Amino acid sequence: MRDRLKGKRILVVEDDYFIAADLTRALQRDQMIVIGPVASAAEANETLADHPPDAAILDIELGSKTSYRLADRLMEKRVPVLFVTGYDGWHLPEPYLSQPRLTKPAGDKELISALRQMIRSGPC
Amino acid sequence: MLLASALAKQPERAAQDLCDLLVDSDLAHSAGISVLAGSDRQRFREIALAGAWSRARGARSLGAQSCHRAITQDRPLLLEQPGPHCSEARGGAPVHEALLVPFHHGASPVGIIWLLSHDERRAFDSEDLRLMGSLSRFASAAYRVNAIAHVERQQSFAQAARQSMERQKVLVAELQHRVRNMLSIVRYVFSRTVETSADIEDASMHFKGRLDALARTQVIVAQSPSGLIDLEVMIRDELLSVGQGDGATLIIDGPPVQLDTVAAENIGLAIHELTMNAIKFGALRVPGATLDIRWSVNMDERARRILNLRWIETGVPIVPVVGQRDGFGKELIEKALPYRLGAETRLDIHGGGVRCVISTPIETRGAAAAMEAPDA
Repeated sequence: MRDRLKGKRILVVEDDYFIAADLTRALQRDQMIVIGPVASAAEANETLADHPPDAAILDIELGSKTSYRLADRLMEKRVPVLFVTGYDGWHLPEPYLSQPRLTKPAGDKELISALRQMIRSGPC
Repeated sequence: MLLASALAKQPERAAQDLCDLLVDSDLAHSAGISVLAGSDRQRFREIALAGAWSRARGARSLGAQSCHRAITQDRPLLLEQPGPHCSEARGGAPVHEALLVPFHHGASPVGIIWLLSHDERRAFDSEDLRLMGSLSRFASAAYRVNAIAHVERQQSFAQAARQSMERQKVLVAELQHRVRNMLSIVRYVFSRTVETSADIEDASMHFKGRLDALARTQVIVAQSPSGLIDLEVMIRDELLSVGQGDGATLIIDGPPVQLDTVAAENIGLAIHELTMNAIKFGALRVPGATLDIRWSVNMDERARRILNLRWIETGVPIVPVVGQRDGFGKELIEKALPYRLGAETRLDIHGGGVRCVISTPIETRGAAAAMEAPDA
């Protein structure tokens, strides 16, 4: 079976190096191309023009900031967004409650299957 | 009248004063005031109590059933030998007679002022009833004051409870967040340790060491009320954990520096990796070698405080680099610190020993600030 994830470009925005590195390895193992990882929304914005992603994995809390603005921008460009967070669901503002979300620590299988679903249903 | 002036001066005590007066002037053996505590007229709250009942152990209210009757009929009620629903309540003070007089707030009966006699020497009559009728005006006044105070107390209690729950919710969420982040870090450290170790014993030893280093930082964080960690304490803790204290060959020196949790976790791990390397191959293994750990704090051109930390080993002969398998420490210092902290780092392994320089901004970052937020 041909895997629809192979060769997809995934933007990874996560401020913790270890978690970012772990995500990167999981994605690369399944032959995806990682854009980043980057630790801030500002750095992510810089990559968007030159490296448009097929999907994005965003840590919600980036230091003292959040990634909601970045999420809005990606969703406008019809890029599917997967939130990864250490907080429970109630912490999320209303507009994002229906976004796919993984709670840390997320297993590789959960991560891949969440991406697979997004890219299947996503507008690509 | 004495009662009227007492009511004016200390309105919150008026109900109790009224009951005390009734007992002190021998009108009754016990007296009390109960007010409705629900719209169903079945439940009552006692706002004052005096006499034999108040002294009885585990004093209880007048039977709600009797109060309910007087309220619904809205007229005084005289009960002779009122029976079990009244006498069950008090230890050692059986009720001979009870006189219950409703009082009003606006047009509605809102409570009962009641008198008890505990033996046949005191029987209530129409004179008592007349007097009670006029005293019930005072009970009404006392009720208004008491009801307002009660509502205020309830409101401020509810408000305090709500605030406390909100704060708790924030703290629990923050704690969960930290725990989950820590588990994610541990997960990665574990898989990297397994990959970079020669065998299972090697992996197990390194993993335990790294887990302990993370745990030490958490302990220091937990003990620090500010959530900040003293750099020197952290370095000494790490070295003491492997039996190393200051001496001619070990220098630890620098000004007081407080790190937030994120910086402490990352720099703490780096110190751990450097320490383990020094024990295995470097200055903490070779006799006569020295380890010099010093730091300073400077301002950079953007007015940020920058910590410059130097770990310098000297006197270590060139060590044959065996395999270079364990790249975790190298990855941590060369990649993780720049990524996470915005640090600039250099790690040189050369003849004479390891030389590592870490320059990192030390502003208060998100973690410490978030914990302080509920007070803001």
